[in-house]
Amino acid sequence: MNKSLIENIIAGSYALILHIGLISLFVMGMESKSEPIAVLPQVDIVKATAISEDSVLAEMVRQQEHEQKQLRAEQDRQEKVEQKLLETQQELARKEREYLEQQEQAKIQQQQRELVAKQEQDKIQQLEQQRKVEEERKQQAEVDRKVAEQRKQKAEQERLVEEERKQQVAQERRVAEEKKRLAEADRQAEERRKSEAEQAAKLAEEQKRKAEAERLAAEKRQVEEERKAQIAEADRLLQESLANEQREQEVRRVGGVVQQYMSIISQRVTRYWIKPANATKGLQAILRVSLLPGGDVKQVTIVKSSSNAIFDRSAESAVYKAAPFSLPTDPKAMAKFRDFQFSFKPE
Amino acid sequence: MIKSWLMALSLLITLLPWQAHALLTIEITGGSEAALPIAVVPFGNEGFAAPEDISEVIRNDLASSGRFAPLPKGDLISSPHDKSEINFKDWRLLRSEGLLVGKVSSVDGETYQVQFQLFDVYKSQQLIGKRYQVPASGLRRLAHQISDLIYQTLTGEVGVFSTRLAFVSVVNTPAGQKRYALQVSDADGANPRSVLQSKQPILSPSWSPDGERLSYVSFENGKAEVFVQEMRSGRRDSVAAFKGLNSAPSWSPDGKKLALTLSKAGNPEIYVLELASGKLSRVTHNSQAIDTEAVWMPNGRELLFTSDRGGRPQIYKVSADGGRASRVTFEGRYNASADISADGRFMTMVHGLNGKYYIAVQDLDSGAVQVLTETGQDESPSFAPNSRNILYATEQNGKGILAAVSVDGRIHQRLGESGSDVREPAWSPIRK
Amino acid sequence: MKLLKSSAVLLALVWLSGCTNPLATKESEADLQSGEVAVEDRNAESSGIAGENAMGADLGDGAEAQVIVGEDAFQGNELDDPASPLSNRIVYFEYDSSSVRAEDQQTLAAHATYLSDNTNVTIRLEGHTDERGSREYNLALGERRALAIRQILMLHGASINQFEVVSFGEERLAVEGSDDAAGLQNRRVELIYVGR
Repeated sequence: MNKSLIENIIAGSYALILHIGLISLFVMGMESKSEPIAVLPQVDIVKATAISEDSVLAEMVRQQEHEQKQLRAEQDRQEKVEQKLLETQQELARKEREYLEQQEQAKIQQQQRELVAKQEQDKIQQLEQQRKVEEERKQQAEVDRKVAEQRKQKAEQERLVEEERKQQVAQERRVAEEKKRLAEADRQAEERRKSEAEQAAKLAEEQKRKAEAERLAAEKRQVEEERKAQIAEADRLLQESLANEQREQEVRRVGGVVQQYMSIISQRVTRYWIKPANATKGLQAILRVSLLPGGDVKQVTIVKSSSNAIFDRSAESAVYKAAPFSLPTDPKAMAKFRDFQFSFKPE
Repeated sequence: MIKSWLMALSLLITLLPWQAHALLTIEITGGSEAALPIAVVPFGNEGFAAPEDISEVIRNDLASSGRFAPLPKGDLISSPHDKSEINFKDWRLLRSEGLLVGKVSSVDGETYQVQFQLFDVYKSQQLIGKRYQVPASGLRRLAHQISDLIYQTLTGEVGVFSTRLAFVSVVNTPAGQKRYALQVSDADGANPRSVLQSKQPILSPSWSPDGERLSYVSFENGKAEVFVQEMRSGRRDSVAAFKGLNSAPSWSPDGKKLALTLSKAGNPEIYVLELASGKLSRVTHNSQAIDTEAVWMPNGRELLFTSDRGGRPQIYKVSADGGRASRVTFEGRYNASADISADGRFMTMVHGLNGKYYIAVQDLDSGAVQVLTETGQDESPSFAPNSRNILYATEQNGKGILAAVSVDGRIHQRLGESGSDVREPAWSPIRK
Repeated sequence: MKLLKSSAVLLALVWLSGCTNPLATKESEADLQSGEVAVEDRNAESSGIAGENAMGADLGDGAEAQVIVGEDAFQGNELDDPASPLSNRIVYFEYDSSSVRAEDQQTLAAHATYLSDNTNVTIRLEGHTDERGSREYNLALGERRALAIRQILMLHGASINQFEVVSFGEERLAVEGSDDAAGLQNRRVELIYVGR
């Protein structure tokens, strides 16, 4: 449609240009004809003033001949021009005709092409239609198949859901049972914990008390054991001494026992003595100690002060801390320890 | 006639021990050097609550000395506040030699009645018992005084809990400048107060023997100059502002002279300045070496000082009248900043080992050296007036702090909770 | 002995004079630069003062004149020239040492020349140490370092009354810290021209 419009415009323009060309040809032809007409009289006037009487007739004849000739020539020329114009008009008419024919021809061809195209289009549409139908058919088949499948799946799913639901119910029941069981266990655990904590606290307290009691007891026991060991050792020595009684004097026997106990007591007191840091060389404190039969201190008196009160007191404290002392069972040896002395020296 | 009587009497007296010797005598020598167990029972409180926990201050004082082992509070079997409430047998079981009880009461919250008693547990005997009346502000100081009394009663040595520490603190201002302050605190580092503030460095504080004056170096005039400041009035005098260095002041034991380092002759030398007359006498004459950090021996006749005359800084001894110096330190490549214990037995110094600096102590009789600290950035050691502890400056997290160590190296202690950078500590003499 | 000493001084002088020539050319280059700086400064100054354009123009001219004349501006600006060895005002030291390192000798020679050429100028030598060791000993060590610098400057012609010596020991660290890197920066003597 568009194409034919453009073609029409082109064709129209073509005709217009042709017409313009023809008209201009006309105009030009007219102009070239008028020019010589205007020039001739001017020449005649100038010439006339210069010509003599005698020659006028001859000149007039010549002039008439010349004019005749010129008229003929003019007629010829005009005929030729008319002839040419006629030809040109004819040519133009012919060209116009040709153009119209061409136009007509093109139109027909166009129509034909359109017809063919339409036919082709129809054919394609038809084929397309067929394909679509075929497609739809296929799709339908597919849909049917899918629907069937879905139905099948759905059924399967429902079955599974049902199964799951059943399982869930079972699970929930189990969970509930488990929860219940756990709660019970927690409660029991909590109770147990509580009672354990209480128990632990009690135990800790008990242990602490026990530990303290044990510590004290252990200390006592240690003292006791030491004493016992010392006693045992002393007894052994005593026995030895007794065995040697026949060979040795009673005094020497007792002296040996006493020596042993002195050494035991010395070690013990030294251990308990915290020597003051300001205890300088050369200090000495002598303490007189009287003991009770069990070995406990009855009285401590300073018989020779070190002149350093701190030193004296540290010695006293050491004696008190070391008590009770282990004493020999032998009455004669033990008698020596009822009332005896300590001599404290820093080194 | 009288003479012969006296003779006879003295003979009798000398014979008496002989009589005693007839008794069996057991010799005890040695003994242990353990800390003395003592029970400090929290003081009772009546009326207004005291702003200071006196018994706790005492407990901390005693424990910090290393000479006492206060029983753990959980071990205290009862809480008596006076003698009638004490069952000595119980306390003997704990093997505690001393037992301290007391109470604090106030009817107005301003004045407090404080009483305490110290007992010998084994003899069931009171060793000290005192009652005081102090304003609330005096409670802490009283606690330190009680600690001193207990310490002295049980060890026979002077307590130093109510002495003071002087040191220099440095604070960076928001403007990026430094503010120096000479501060004085309690012996445990608590309760610090400024006695001098400056934009310029302050260093080397030194206490006069009576504890009434401080001498120090201040850069307030653009260079090191020595000042003396009275503690009570705050009055201060420039005592050395010669050309060159004026530094390292140290009071003579009689409090009349200052040993100083001056470089007015072109090189740091030791001088002695008589404070009353202003008379200056030069002690060292080694123009090639640095001689500085003089300290007086307790005899007041000799000085110890640091010198690099041997190539490296070492401690030397010289008569305060001048003369030939003798080298004192031989261990290690670097020994400086000496201080001497009041009993004259020990010298403490900064001891350099592999580029690190430790506090060491040297037995002046035997020459034996013991390194006491471990951090490696320790300086300015200063003996406690009882010769038992050494105060020094060290660093923690890039900040200067004060610490103390016992002469035997067994007790280490950090002093004060100051947020600022502190350094240059000096332990005051006993407060008279 | 005396001969040896005097010949040593002579040597030093010869060495110094050898140094002055390159120094002088550097200085003349420096004049132009510092002159320009001066012009800029003046302009900046004048533009900062509102309504005093005429004055500013005068000053600008003056500054240009200074550049051309050169000689007067020479002394004042020489110390400000970053290309001059005089711009090095810090001398660093090894650990516990007051010996000047070889690479600092030229700097010190330049300062000495400047001081001997300008006898009315005084310089403050501030001695510093790192923070290791005793503060009092470091105070003395800082002074010893400053004195070592003074001695070198005097050997090269500066006179003793041109100096102020002060030690801060470890009290004014350039860099906080006790490690080796900080120590390198802290062990120093600062040369400070008084009144500048």
